[in-house]
Formats: sequence, structure tokens, C-alpha cells
Amino acid sequence: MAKGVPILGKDPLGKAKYANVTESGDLRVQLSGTIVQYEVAVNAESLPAGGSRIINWNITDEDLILVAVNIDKAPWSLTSRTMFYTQSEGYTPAFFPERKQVQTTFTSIAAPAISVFLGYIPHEGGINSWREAVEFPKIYQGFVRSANDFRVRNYSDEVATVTVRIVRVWNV
Amino acid sequence: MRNDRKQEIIENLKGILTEFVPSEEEPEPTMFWLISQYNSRYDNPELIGGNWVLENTDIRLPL
Repeated sequence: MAKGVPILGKDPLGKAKYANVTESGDLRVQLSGTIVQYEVAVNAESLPAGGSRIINWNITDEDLILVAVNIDKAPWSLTSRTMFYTQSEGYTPAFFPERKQVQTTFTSIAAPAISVFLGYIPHEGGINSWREAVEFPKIYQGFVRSANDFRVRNYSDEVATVTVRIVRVWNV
Repeated sequence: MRNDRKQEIIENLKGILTEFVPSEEEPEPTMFWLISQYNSRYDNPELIGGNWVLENTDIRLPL
């Protein structure tokens, strides 16, 4: 047996027994937690009037993806392809909150417009709260690689400044 | 881009930076703030943005 102090637990009847140890006495442990990856996808780019910025994102097996947009002109929209809809132009329900022809600007880099990427179209009735959006089952892996992008469109008649950040979360 | 135009843009960017006034919402200048100010004050046919600033100037700001 390996050196060290054995860890005692109790079985369901309350009888003392070694807890989670291997035959050689090593303690079995399982680590859990969250991995968070942050990236600046668009760094203060100037987007012409009516123009859109397509952002490729290499989605893998994330459990949650957040998109944070700063933009100084309005209206603007955030759209994406889904596994059921392969055009990223004009399709806003893939995000919660939906960002469709948004009439407000988000100019503080500390307070961007944050949306959850839902990955596919919500069931009838949609998503109505952040909690529902976060708990909604994501099937990001169902994405077709060639359709792996989203976009921000500037619907104003002026040049807009745009910063987009992506936060990817894995539960392990 | 011609060099004189490039220098003009850099001088304009640095001029904007010198006018920054901290606020509760914006305690320090950011790259977004700089480009936003540039777009509001000057024509930007080259569509310069944060990456252009990083590649062509010594201005370094939080992204």
C-alpha cells in the first residue's frame, strides 16, 4: 500500500470503510469545474453604412457560448446560421436576447450587448429568460463546418465602430 | 496608403487621445473608444480600425 493516511468513509449502513481508494491505496479523485476561453474576434473595426462583418468561429463541443458586441451606431443586428438554417444573413433567433434591428448603441467596452448562442431554433414559445437560455440544451456539434460563422450588420447610414468578443465555456 | 496620409491619420489619433477625459463609464481610453471618436470626427474611407492602429502606430490601449 502507498504511504499516507488512509481516508475512511462510511458505507450506507454506517460501517467504516476505506473511501475511494484503489487496490494499492491511492485515493481516487475526480476533478470538476469550468473552463472559460475569452477571445477578441473583432477589434474596434470600422463597419461601413449598411455593411456586415462575418465572423468565423470554430465551434467544437462547447457547453455555452456568449457573444459580446460593442457598437456605436444603430440600428444593428446579430445573426447566425443554425443547423437548420444555413444563411447567416438576417436570422436573429439563434441568439438570446435576440438582437434584431437594435435601436440602442453599446459604447462602453465594460458593458457590451451580451447574447447566448442557442445553436438552433428554440421550441415554440421561444426562450424568455437568461436562465432558460443558459439551461437550453446546446447542440453546437451539430453545426456544419462550412456554415460556421455569424455576423453583425450595421443598418445605420454611418460608419460604425464594432468590437466583438466571444466567451466559450466548457463544463468538465 | 501613402505615407503622408498615414502620418495624418496617426496625428489625428494621437490628438484624440490627448483630449480624453476620464468618466465613470470610461475611466481610461480603449481601442473601441479611440476608433469610435475617430469615426465621429473624421472621414474614414480606409476603414481603419484597432488592428490598423496596432500595426501602424505605437498606440497601445485595452481592447
